[in-house]
This record gives sequence, structure tokens and C-alpha cells, in this order.
Amino acid sequence: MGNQTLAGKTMKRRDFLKLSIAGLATTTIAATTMRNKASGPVGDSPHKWAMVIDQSKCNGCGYCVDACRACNDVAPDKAWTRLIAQEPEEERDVYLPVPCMQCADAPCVDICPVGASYYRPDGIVMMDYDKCIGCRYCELACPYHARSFNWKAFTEGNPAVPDWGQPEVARRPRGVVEKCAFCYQRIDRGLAMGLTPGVDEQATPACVVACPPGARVFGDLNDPESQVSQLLAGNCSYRLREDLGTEPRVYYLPVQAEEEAACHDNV
Amino acid sequence: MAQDSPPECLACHTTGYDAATHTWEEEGVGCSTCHEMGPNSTHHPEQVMPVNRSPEACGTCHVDTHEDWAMSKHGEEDLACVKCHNPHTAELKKENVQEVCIDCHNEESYFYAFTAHSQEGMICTDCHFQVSETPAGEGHGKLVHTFAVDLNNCNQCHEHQMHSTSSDAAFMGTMGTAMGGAEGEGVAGVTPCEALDTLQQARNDIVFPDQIDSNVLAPEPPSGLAPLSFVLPMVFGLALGIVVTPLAERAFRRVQI
Amino acid sequence: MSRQRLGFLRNSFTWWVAFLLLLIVSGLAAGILVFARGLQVTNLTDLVPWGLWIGIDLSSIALAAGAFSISAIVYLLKVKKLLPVAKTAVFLGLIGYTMAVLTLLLDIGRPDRFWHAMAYWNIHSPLWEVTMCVTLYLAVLTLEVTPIVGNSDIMQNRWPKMGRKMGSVHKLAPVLAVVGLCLSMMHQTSLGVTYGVIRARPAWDRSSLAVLFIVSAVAAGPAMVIFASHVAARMTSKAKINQDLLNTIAKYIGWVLIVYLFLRVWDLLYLSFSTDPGRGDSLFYLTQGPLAVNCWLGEMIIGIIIPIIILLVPHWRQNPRLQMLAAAMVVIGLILYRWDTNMVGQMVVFSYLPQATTPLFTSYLPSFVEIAAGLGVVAYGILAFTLGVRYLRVVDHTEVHEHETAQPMPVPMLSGD
Repeated sequence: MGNQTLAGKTMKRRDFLKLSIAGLATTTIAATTMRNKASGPVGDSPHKWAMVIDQSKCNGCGYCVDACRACNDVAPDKAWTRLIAQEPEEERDVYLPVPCMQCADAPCVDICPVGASYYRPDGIVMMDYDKCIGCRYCELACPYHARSFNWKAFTEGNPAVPDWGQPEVARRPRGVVEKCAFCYQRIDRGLAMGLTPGVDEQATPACVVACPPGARVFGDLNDPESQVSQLLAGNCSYRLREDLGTEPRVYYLPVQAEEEAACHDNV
Repeated sequence: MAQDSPPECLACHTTGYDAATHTWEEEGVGCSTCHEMGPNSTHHPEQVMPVNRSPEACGTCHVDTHEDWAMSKHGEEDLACVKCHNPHTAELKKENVQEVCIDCHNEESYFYAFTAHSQEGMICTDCHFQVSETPAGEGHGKLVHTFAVDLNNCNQCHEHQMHSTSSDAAFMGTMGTAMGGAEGEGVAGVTPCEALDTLQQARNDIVFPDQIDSNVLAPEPPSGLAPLSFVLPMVFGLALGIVVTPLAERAFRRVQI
Repeated sequence: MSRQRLGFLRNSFTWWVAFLLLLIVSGLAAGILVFARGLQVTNLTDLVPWGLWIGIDLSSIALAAGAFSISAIVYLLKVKKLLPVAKTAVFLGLIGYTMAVLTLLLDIGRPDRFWHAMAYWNIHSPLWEVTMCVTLYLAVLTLEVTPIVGNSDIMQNRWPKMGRKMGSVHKLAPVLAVVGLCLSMMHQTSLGVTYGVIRARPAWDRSSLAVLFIVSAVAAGPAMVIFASHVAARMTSKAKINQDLLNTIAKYIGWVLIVYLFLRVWDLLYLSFSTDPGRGDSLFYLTQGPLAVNCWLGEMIIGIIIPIIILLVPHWRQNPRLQMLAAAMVVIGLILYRWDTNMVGQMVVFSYLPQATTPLFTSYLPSFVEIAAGLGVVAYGILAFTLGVRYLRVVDHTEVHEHETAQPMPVPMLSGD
């Protein structure tokens, strides 16, 4: 039956045009909205917070994890900052404390469908727990396993309280993803009181305050006199997975400072 | 407090003690010792109450302890009191003092577990944390926070071996009561594993690379079939059945007739 | 003979519906459990956050792609004779998208906040774009299905005025076809982009996933239509199919599958040319590890190669049973492709530790609640199609539409064996 089979049909110009316009419109809309990089932090803030962790000082005590759990009301089966034991080097143990990297080009901010993950002008990647729908796309996207989902509600008492601190932020409900936010509540509160985050304990993230050997240092990269700036200027440092281009705000001072390899982009 | 309390006590156990007028505001150690009342605190609770967490603040009352600490390595490294102690209860942040030592001094504890001292059941604080000579001293410091070990520590047990020339010097006798337990008897026969267990109680926050999120990761992919590998043959069989059954039926009918 | 046959059918129909309702009710119970106790009842973890439900969601969206592709062929390329097949396709499309929405509702941690994606926009997010397009496309599909319901016997007999009004929505069909084509192209590719933008996971981080997803959808959607039509025709005499129409679509699927095969082989080769250890490990996991059977036997041989052979040899393509078999194989291959893609990126655990070169693997098996809820959603889809065939005549190639076809043609009917 000849003239209506698909293969033998000669398309009218009108139909071809219709199809092409549809395809073109589709591609254009898709291409312009699908720029997969949300803009980074807009520079409205004089501060640029960063953390430097000196691995030669970290002894793996885990006090940072406990203090964070107390001050941010984190459940015992979660950790916003994790402590990884690495291979011992030169007969000493090596530990890697990993908070949220607060990336300047964060994959989690780009892909959150409701924009619950967003940049603050001072560089902190914030979570809006009221917007989050719990789709866990950010958990897939984060290269550092920094995010944890509330599979169940945390209703019990927090065992880290009161020894390690008091909760300073609201507890998250079931069904949302949570992560470290550089204790923004302490930073904001401290700035309002005229304190300096990184110098004054009340304005500094809980993990930094709790660290007994002082391995964690916090401060403002925009201030050349701050401890973080000076540490980074004077020492060899590295960041995790720099090859991904996430531009993390957490720097590490390696255990053996003389190791050249640790200064360059790691594998 | 009674009217005839010595002023040395009142200076610490009250708030706002004025030595000149011998008056005070609150009995007991008041909050204002560490949370200074002042211009910054008048807008509380709108503003956060300021707090002084420095060792010097603790040292105004816990004088002996502060002095000991300042002489110690901890003091040199500026390891503040509040890193180990809950500032409100003054208790340690961990269950017992042994855990606190192990948290930071993990490597030392690991090697220690294999020593004869450990097999006797001794732990860090048996030598490194002496009971003070002045139990009711100023600031009531009971345990010496220098963490130093000197000859007196050794002599708690080995006194009779001092300057001994006999071959018995090698013999390990424990005749002291430093361990606070049964007199003269050591707790012998502790294996290194048991010692390690005792020493390692608190280290449960550390994540090893193959244990993230309490999900055990394996260096090899799990053997066995992927979950859908059983469904697939079933579906294949179903499809085959749909095709073959009518054919078979027709063939059967043909044979029958 | 026909009364006997109808009597037999009525019996089995009851049993069939009862079986599906059983699955649906147990799925409902599982769903209530999920809403009440949270996602802790699943075997999902922070390492494997997307599991069976996302697999069902992806598969149902892809298998619903017959709606936009066949509608585009009918209304934009003016192949009017395929109109009855478009009716089936559009109905299957609506079923597929409602299934997807149901599984998503189960899967997100806050189902009460499902509307947030429409209220709070993040235009840079592929998942936001998918959500918006799926929502809009659901509206399009509803409008496309409205005339089917309107022209059904039930409506025409009991509410004829309403039925006529609903039927007149069919005038919008060409517009809806264009809009549906745009929306579908956007979100079918964006589903691939959803995985493709994840820089952190070398198994996914490439742009070809977008193309592979749309091409596989365009092949498997019509295949689902063919398969469903054949099954319906075998199961009940209410479904009447015209083998010629299905042959046309089957040939088209065959050619699309050749393109798809080419792209898949290219993609696999591309993965192998990489010094990124994560990518090599992922390829190993997919092609030689636990997913190897799924990948080679399921996706490639059963899903692509055998159907190509069957669908492009005219004698075999025109054999109804072989055609149905080939269509079923394409559908299976697509489901496995979506499942494998979702799994391989999560099973191979990337490391952020410096100088970490050895891979680590995890595992995932859906929990009973997940399986029950997933089966419930699938059973709902099958039941909806069953009722559509029985009461709305969605598989009826003998229907002559007054507005559209030029001349009625003698149509060979397939009689059941």
C-alpha cells in the first residue's frame, strides 16, 4: 500500500520545517538553561573563610567530631566532619580530618533542583533545610562524601551534649540532607559581637576550638595577616581532588613538609 | 556559709567577693567567674554571654593545678583545660581518664600494650598522674597535672630494687600501693590484646578508608550475580513461552488429529 | 463459540485484576510504611542513595517515549495511518509518566515538599529541568488522552455531551505533538545529563549519556507500544491490531537500534581509553564484574543485537510472534541499561584521598519494602493498561476517525490462535 508508508513518504517542506523548528527550539532552550555551573559566590562580603588543617599535628583524637556533633546537634551515627585514618608514614600515624570543603565551584550547588544548597557571599556553602526535598542528588554529586541524609528522624538525646558543647542550630527533620556549614552561626554571632573568627573562640567553628593540638586553623583568606593566610603563604599545602576543579576552601599541610609530591595536584 | 568562714575559701566560693568589705553576692562558685558581667553582657539574651575559657581563668581558683600544668608539656603546647574538661561540671569529657590519654597519645598506647608494665595491668595514669602530696591544698588539686614521671613514681613499686646488687634485681616485685588496688599484689597476666582493648576504648570516631558511613566497602567487587540476573532469565523464559506455546499447541493438535 | 470464549475471558479477567490489585494493595501498604517511618526501611545508604525506585522511574519515563515519537510521526510527518497506534502510545505514555511520578513520590525524603521544584527554581540543575518538563508533559499527555476517554463507549453512552467535549480536545493534537516533542527531547536528554554532569563519578562523567538516553528511549518507547499491543491482542478480542501498522513501526525501531548500537559501542570504547582509575574500575565492574551478565547478555545481545536481526529481516519482522519477542527484548534491554547506568556509578566508590589508586566497591540489594512498593507501581501500570484496553479501546486499529483518515482501507485482522 504505496503512498503512506514511512520509508517511502516524501515530506512536505512545511512538515520538515515544523520538525526542524521544534528541534531547534528544544536545543536552544536546553543549551541556554543547562549551563551546568551556577555562578560562584558573589563578592559582596569582605570575608573569604578558609580552614587549614596541619596533618603533622593531627593525632586522630576525634575531639573535633564530638564538638561538631554537640554544637550542631548531629546524630551519633552521622559525622559532619569525618576523621579518616590514612596509611602510616615514617612510622607515625597519619590522619585526615575532612569537613565539608565549602567549594568555590560546588557540584552540590549546581545540581540541587530546588536550590536548597546555595553560596553565601563569604564562601560558605549553605543548606536551606526548609527547601530541601530529600532527593539526594547532592549526595551523588559531592566528591568528598560530605553530605549525609536523614534516613530517620533523630529524636533521642544527643550524647555529645553537654560535655562537648550545646546545640546552636535547629535539629534537622527526617528526609533532608545535611552537612557542615563552617559553624556559620558562630561566625555570624561573633562578628556581631566584634570578635574575629579564627582568633576568638566564640566566633570560630567548634571543631577548630576543640582540637587539642591545634591542628585546625580557621580564618579569613582576604586578610593577609590572618593565620590561615600566613600558613598558606609560608608552607606547602594541598587540597583534596583539585583535579575536579571544585576549588575547595579547606587546605591541608602534609605530614612530611619536604615531600614535593604532596605540594602538587594530587592524583 | 558560716560567718566564720576563712576568707581564703570565700574568695573562690562566692561571686563578687569583696575582701575589703567582706561581702559577696552569690554563694557557691558563681557563673560570673568565667562569664564576666560587664557592658557586653547587659544585652543578654539578645547577645551571647561572653565567656573566658582560658587556663588562667581556671587558675584563679585551681592554683596548684594551673601551676603544675604550666610547667608541663601540655602547658607549653597551650593545651587548655577546657579541651579535656567540661567547664561546667569540671569532669572529663570522656568516661575515664585513661580514654582521654589515649585519644591523643594513641601511638604511645599501642606500643605500651606490649610492655611488661601493661601486662601487670598498669595503665597510663598509674605513673603519669600522681596523687598530690597536699590533698586539701589551695584549689583542691588532688591529681598532679604535670604528668611527669620521676623516681618517686618508680619507687612506688621498685623501691626495694634500688641500689640492689643481687641478681634479684631482675625480679619484678610489686610492693607498693600505688595502683590503689589490693596491697602488694599486681594484676598479672594481662595480654597485650586485653591491654590494647582497655587502652583503645574511646577511639570509635576514626574512619578507616574501607569503612565509610558504617557501610563496609570491599576492595573487590562482590562475587555472585547481579540482582537482575535472576529476573532476566525468568523474563526471557516468559517471552519464549509466549512464542513457543502456541506452536507446540498447534503441533500437538496436529499430532492428535 | 464467542459467548463461551467471552465467559472464559471474564473469569480470567477477574483473576487477573485480582492479582494486580493484590500487588497494588501491598505496594500501597509498603508506601504507607515509607511515608510513616522514612527511608530507613529501604536498603539505600549514603553511598547508594538511588536504587530500585529510581531504576523504575527511569525505565518508565523511557518506555513512555513512544508517545512523543509516534505522535510526532503522525502529526508532524503526517503519516496519518499510524493514528490508532498513536492512541495506544499516548495512553501508555500517560501510564508511564504517572508511574514515574508515583515512584518519585516514594523516593524523595520529603514527599510533602514535592511541589518545591515548581516553586523554587534552579535553572542550572538538570534534575530541576526534568521535574518541570515531566510536570508540563504530564499535562500534555492528559490532554492527549482526554479524547480517548471522551470517545469511549462509557462516556458516549452515559455522558455524551461531556464525551463530545472531551473528544473535541483532539483538535489540539498537532500542537500537543509539537509541544510534547520539545518537552520530551528536553527531559529525555536531561535524564542522561543528570548522570553526565557528575564530575565526581568517573563512571558517569561524560556528555554521551544524554545522547544514549534519548536514542534508547526513542527505540524502546515504540517497542513498548508494539509489545503491549501484541499482548493485548492475544489476551482479549477487544484489542484489534493491524499488523501492517506495527510492521512500519518495527522497521523504524530496527534502524534506530542500529544507531543505538553504534553509539553504545563507541561509548564503551571511549570508556576504555582512559587513564582515570575510577573510569577503568567502573568499566571493569560493568563489563567483567557483577553487571557483566546484564551488560553483555541483557543489554547488548538481547537488548540490541537480536532485535536488530529480527526487525530488519522483513520475513521475521512481519511474523507477529517474532515481532512481539523482539519488542519485548528491546524493552528488557532498556530497563537493564537504565539499571546498570544507575548502579555502576554508585557501586564503584570514588575516593577523595590523596594518592588513592585502589578502588573500593559496595553493594546494594533492594529491601522487601522497596520491592513491594516498586511492584505495586508496576502493577498499577499494568492494571491501567488492562482497563484501558477493555473499556477505552486503546488498542484498536480498526477505528476510523471521522476527522482524519481520507479513505477507509480493508484492514487485515489478527485472529487469536
